[in-house]
Amino acid sequence: MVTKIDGATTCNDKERQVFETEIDMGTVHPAALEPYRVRLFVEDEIVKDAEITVGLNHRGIERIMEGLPVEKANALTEKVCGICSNGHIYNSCRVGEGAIGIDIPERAIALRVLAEEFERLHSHMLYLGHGSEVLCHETFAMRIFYIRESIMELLYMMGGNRVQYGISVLGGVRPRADLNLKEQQRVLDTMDYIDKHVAEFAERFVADPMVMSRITGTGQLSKKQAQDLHVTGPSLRAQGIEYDYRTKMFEYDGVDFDIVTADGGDVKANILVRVGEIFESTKIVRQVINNLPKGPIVNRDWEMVDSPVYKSYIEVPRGVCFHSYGLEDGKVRHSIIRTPSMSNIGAMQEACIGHPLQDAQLAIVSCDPCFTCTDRAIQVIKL
Amino acid sequence: MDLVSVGYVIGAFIIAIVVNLWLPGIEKKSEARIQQRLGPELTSPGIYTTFKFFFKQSLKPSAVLPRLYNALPIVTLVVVAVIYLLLIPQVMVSWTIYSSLVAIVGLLKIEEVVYVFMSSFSQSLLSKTMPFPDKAKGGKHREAKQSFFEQISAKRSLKLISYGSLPFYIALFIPAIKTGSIGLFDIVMYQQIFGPVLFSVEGVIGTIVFFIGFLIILNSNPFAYMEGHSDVIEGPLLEYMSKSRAAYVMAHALLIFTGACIYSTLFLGFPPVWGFSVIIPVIVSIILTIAAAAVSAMAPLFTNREFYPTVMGTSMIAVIGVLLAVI
Repeated sequence: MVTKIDGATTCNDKERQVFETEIDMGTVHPAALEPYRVRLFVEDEIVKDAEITVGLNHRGIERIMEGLPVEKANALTEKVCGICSNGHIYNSCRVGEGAIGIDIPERAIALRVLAEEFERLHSHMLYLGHGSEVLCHETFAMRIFYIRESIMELLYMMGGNRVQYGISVLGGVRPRADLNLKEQQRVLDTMDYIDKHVAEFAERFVADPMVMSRITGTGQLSKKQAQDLHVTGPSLRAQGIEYDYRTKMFEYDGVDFDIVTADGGDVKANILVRVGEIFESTKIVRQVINNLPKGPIVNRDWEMVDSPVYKSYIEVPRGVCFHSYGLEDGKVRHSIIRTPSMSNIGAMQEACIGHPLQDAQLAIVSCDPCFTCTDRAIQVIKL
Repeated sequence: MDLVSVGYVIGAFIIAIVVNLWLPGIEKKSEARIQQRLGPELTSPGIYTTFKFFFKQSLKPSAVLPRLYNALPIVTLVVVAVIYLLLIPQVMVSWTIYSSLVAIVGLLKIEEVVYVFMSSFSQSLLSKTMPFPDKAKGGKHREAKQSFFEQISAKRSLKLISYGSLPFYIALFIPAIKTGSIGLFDIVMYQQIFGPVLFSVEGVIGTIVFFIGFLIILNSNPFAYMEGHSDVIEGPLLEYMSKSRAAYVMAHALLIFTGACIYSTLFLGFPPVWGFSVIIPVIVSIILTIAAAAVSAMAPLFTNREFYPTVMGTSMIAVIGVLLAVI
């Protein structure tokens, strides 16, 4: 509601609200994996309003990409994020391939899906570990990090690195990313290991009444709030909304998987969705390995052409990731990257409200923030 | 007090120092083994850490009255040392009038109150004074009064003083009611004749409540909400460094051992340095430390939502123990 004061100033009632105090966290805080600032407006330790500010890691990657040869620009996008680095180079290659019109070999498509699902597995396990840390339950955090090591080893096997794998290249995947029969068997064994141990972890987690007390009803968003704030990814599915962009991606055609949803929209629902998605990812990996097509893994038979801005969306672990650029003389023009955390920041702010101060970071973490990659890609607009 | 008694007191403090240097290591190692990791060396958290802090560079802490702020861990150390002193049998005999439960409770309350001062004085860079343009144009609620998050810790310390530690103090009085005296020497003598209070229903109840209450006094997980890492980080302790940090580490370790001695005196009838039975408080302190590590490893941090019912429930159980002791 807008009110006139002294006939001159206009202000919002909410802005004039007086709070007991403001508690600021960050930009350095042990509960946060990355630097960001949270302003919490508190009444008797209950958060009444919140403001999250990002922008401390801005590196202007989009600007640096401008004018770079497309293959170099693609490689640069991997540096956007340390967790979903594969998602960025994969999507960036998709933009280039779509713009130029490159056909991708079937085996390369399958290997890209594998890499993306590996990344989803490690990201979701990192989420569970980080959530447990914020709950101050170190044992659960340690357990899930042990299990996560298995998938990190697979990523290392496939990409030669544990963080920046560099699997996708324009036209397919790097030769290193191809899997021989022995490696394929190792992948299947690891999926069995993950299924078994994550199921045990999840059983213990939900059977712990103290943990359940902390996460049930905490950081709750309504379905309408989630839709209004354009929440994406597992955080959206935790509202019971069945939306997963993988169903629209041609790479996942013929792959059988369920969209995992949960009701409640609280921390518990968020955790359960991600645990469920871990099992769906292992299911996808098994299908891909069992039906891995034979043939080349890269198509280098293409000519560079100029192209208007081409857009590509994919489902990365945190939600829908957007990349777009145009091509001019083989150089990238008008590059834009939007990470899923960009959409979820609003949800993180809302999720804090109405909960105790101790739960504020938990509510933020439940939306799986990746502010640093959001910062790195964000476009600074001069006003 | 004759020279022999003074020798006993010195001996008791030597035992306390030796045990204290190992207890933090036992705590960290136990927690690590529960989490299936190697953990630090047994000597590392207690011995090396303490000595390391002594030789660290000391800076002026971001606190109001920084000298007083730095002195507060020493106050804690002295208070806990006095509690330990009152538990030594030779002191009990010589200073019967001082060596009572009332003195123990009073001194423990001082130890708790010190945290309020620590929290109130500390003003770390990590919240309000972080050079960040919070009041920028377009920001929310630019008129809002900012607080250091240590101030939240101060409020929580007050809550702990007012009701958080209640179960612990009720549990302390179960042996007193059973033995009919608040004098520590009387409580010990009663148990030497009639057997430990532990071997009764109210003793078992008191033990359970004592353990939970002592975790609250220690600010140990899951009751560490005064210094919760998810919001106030370390709260009152944030600005301690070098020698004052070493003093705090020592005070905390001595508090664990003193707690074990309080239990051993009140529920088993064996105060420290009671002939060869000195081993009993040492064993109790090790059991207490391992149990605290196990609880810490297996529980998340409690918020008010879990903390209030736990305190209420534990207090009610303690009251049942008191009633049984009265009957």
